[in-house]
Amino acid sequence: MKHLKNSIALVALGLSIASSACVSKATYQASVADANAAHQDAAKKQATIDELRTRLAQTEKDVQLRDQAVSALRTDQHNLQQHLDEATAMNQSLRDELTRLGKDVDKVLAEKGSMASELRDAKARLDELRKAQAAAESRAALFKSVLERLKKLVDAGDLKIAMRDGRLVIQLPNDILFDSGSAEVKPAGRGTLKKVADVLATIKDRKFQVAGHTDDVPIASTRYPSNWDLSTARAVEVVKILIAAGLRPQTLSAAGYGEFDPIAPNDGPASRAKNRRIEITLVPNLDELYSIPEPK
Amino acid sequence: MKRSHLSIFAAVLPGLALGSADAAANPDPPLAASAPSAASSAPDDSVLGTVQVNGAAGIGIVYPKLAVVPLVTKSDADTLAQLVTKRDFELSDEYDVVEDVPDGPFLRDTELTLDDWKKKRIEIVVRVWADGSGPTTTLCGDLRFTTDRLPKDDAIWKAAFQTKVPIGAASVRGATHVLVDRLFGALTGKPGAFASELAYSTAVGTARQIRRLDADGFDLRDYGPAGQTALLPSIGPAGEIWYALSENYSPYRLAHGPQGTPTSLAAPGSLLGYSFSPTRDRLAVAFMAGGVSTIYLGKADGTDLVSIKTPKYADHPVLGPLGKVAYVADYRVWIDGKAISPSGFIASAPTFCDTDRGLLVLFTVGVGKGADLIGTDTTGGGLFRLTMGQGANTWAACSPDGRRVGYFSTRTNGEGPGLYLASLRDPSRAHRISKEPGEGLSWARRDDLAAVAATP
Repeated sequence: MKHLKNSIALVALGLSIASSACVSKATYQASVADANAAHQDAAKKQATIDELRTRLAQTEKDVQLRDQAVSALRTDQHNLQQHLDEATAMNQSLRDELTRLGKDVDKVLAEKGSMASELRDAKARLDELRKAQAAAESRAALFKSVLERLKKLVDAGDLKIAMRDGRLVIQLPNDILFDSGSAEVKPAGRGTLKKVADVLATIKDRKFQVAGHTDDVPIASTRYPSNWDLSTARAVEVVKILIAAGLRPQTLSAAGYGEFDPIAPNDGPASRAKNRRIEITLVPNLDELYSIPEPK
Repeated sequence: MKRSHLSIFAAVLPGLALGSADAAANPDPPLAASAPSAASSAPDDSVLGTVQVNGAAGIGIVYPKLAVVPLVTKSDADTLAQLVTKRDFELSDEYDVVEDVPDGPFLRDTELTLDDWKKKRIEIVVRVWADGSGPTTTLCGDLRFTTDRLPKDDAIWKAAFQTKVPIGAASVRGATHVLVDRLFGALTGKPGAFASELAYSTAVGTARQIRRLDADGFDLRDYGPAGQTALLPSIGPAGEIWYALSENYSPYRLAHGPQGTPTSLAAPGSLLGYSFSPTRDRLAVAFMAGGVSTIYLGKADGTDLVSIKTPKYADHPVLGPLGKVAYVADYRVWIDGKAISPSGFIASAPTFCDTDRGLLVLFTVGVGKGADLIGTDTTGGGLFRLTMGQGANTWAACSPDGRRVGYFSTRTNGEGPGLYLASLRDPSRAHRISKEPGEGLSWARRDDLAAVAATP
């Protein structure tokens, strides 16, 4: 600024001298040149000042924008921090819950293992029950079928049909089949056995056991020294008749129980008569041997 | 010296916040001439009472134990509702919110067993969840008390209170605040004020920017024009934010809305302070003209302004319930023409608090190098202290339900400086919700949640 003032002073001086015509032309021209140079210099400096003012304004604007950006960042930081705190709390809450659930999972897994075992057992029991039920239904059907076919003999009192120990048993009183102390089947008895054989022959894939039973009156004949001998001989005799009537020998067996498997107390003539008998038992198939399992 | 008028805020005199640009540029404001002699002979602050501010066990109050049931859920809305509920109850300082709850897992329809919660010594069990999705979501909440007596051992433990809040256009977070307000109402007999927001101004470079944030510290956002000087925000008529605005060092004027729409007031000078009544139908303004400040009362639209008689340099008018007007003059707080702040202390920034204890006035007093918050009744009696010996604590603002107070603190211990919330019952358990410094704090219900809150 000082230089500018000096220049202006010089120009003024030059003009003053020129106007008073007290200076030479050369001096005058030199002064005018100086004045022009000073003007140009002043204009340049003014331009610089203007440029600096523009830059200052821009800088102020930039600062303001920066301040606003900083403020926006501060806001973002605050909000992010809040959400971070909340997320941390949520994380802690989830961890706590996970811990709690972890205990529950262990418990559930243990319970699941136990339950799976129980489920397996239950399924097995169910299968057994289904098979037992099927066997029972099969036996019931067979019982019904045999009963229907031997109905006349049952009605006539020649035989009885019963379920004993889960097995179908045809009981024939000895009085119809044998005379006392004899193992020879009477003619009437043969006829009954023939009819029984006809029914049994229709039951495929079954085996039959023929068993002789006596009462508890001892026997001591030469031929049958005990009721064992008599009961067994009677069973064998019945088997022979059944074979003769058409049953395959492979399906038959004979057994003697003597007086040791009574179905009534040997305390009188009527009950003793019940114990004197031939029993033809249908030997169960394997699938009929399933028993109903006891619950654990 | 640009914006040198803002230097007035450097003083612990928030009540003297505003002045004209010309007047404020004067480094020797006339107010200083009438300042009490506190600087030369510090007053005995023991007359202000004491408050335990170690932030530990409070002041001996035993808080009921409350638990929010941690539901196992895949729903984000469920999880967020639980977190917001828990935080709101924590911030309330009315309950001891516990984490130690009975073993779950708890689903929405899990029946809660009274004895399990009683064994944990929990007294109140809160359950919140969200039904539906998107705008059709409904927030549900219920309360159970372990003091309940069931008619039989095997009887179902029924909720003592249930409520539902359809979200509609609101967010899950916002609607949850409404839900908690209702739960709080069921617990205390008076709804809470968690669906509310705070507004204040903060320095952004050489400017002052209005900020808003929810009452749980979430969703901080700017409001109003940037790059100018906006001060003293408050919610006024039509639920809009109003504030004092100065553009390019011009005198302050009352403005509102996001664009700083000016309000024409028939009073001369630069705006010093203003306040709307709780019903938002009355306005009190203070103007500085020719070195003289005057307080006017009128309608909320700025018409029918009539000056009231005050001591010199009256400022910071505040309208309270029952037509009460508080203001600051001669460094003291005045109500109904009577100074109610303790003599000898520089008092500023009064605010009314409509509490269960009656109408209270909170204000700041300078104590030593700091400033503390003080409360009294409207006659200056029943003086009590809310802060003590922790920096400058200024700009008290009461929650809309009158239970809590928000303020700015410069404390360097504890959680550090920032915006704090505390209960009036036990102000020692203050919670910082923002690190940002500010001034001119106000607290009001969120108008954007009014429709949600109005649902039956």
